[in-house]
Amino acid sequence: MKKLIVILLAVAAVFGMTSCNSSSPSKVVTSYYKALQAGDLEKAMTYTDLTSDEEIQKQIEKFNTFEIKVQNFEVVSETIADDGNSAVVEVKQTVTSAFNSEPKEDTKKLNLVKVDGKWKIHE
Amino acid sequence: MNRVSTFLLLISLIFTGCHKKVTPVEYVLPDTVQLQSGDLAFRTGISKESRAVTTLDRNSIYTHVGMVVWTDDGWRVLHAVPNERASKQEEDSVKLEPIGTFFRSDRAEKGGIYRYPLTPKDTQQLREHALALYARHPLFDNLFDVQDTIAFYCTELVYFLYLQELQIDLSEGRRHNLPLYPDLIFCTDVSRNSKLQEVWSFH
Repeated sequence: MKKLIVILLAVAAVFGMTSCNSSSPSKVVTSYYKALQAGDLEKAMTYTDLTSDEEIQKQIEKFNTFEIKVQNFEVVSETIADDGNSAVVEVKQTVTSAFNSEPKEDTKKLNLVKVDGKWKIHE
Repeated sequence: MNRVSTFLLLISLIFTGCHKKVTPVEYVLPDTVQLQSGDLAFRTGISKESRAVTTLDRNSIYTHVGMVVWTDDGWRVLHAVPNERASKQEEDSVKLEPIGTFFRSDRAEKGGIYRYPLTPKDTQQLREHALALYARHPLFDNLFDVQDTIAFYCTELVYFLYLQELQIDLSEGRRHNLPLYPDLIFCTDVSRNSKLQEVWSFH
């Protein structure tokens, strides 16, 4: 019985740590870009601070209309403000779109804010 | 024999249809249009970028803009455009083209010339700056970054010339937001400038 409790506590601790990590600004940005790479725009929007259906659909329409697609990305840096409520994550991204005949590589700074204790990309 | 004739006729019709190519027509500006350096030439194209702009921004009449400049070879439009290279080896860059080419039938289904009220000195300054900028052969700004001054996208080019030379913000601070891009100046951000007056347009 004692062993079982120890195992359960260990499992809980691992899950706890995992969830902490997934809510860091860099992790949120990584999840956002991975969802974009996979073409799952609905999922990508869950990492943003957009809440109304109208806003979300408008943003998805922008991705679709301009054929904006993520080819590659890499989180370069993360800066959390002293008050812990906002952050900036710098991402090196390679993107294709209707505007570019060739993939464009640049660095994008994403602003994040804490909404109900969770990091969200500010759109 | 009849069957063979019909078959041959059909084949020839199919091939004629396949090879039918429409030659683009250069636009001839009416003689009554009096141009001046600094005039803005707007057009709505038929490219996928143009379609995308008008789909997203339903208020947008035009999707591309350049600046009219008097040169030794006549009137030209200075403009920055992607995907209009003569060959794949070339890079997208700022171009100086005759008005008729800018409004060519395969590039423009709508177009117009608009004028910001300027003094003769202003137009001269804009002209000189535009020609000096073209001499540097700047590239098309694939990063769409308004802050840099080494490469330009279409609206950024006219915005930059007016701002640098005359301290006039054609966009009046308006911007459009696209995901994963910096804030962009769309054509409507310029065409909505309250001081612009239509000189001529075609639809």
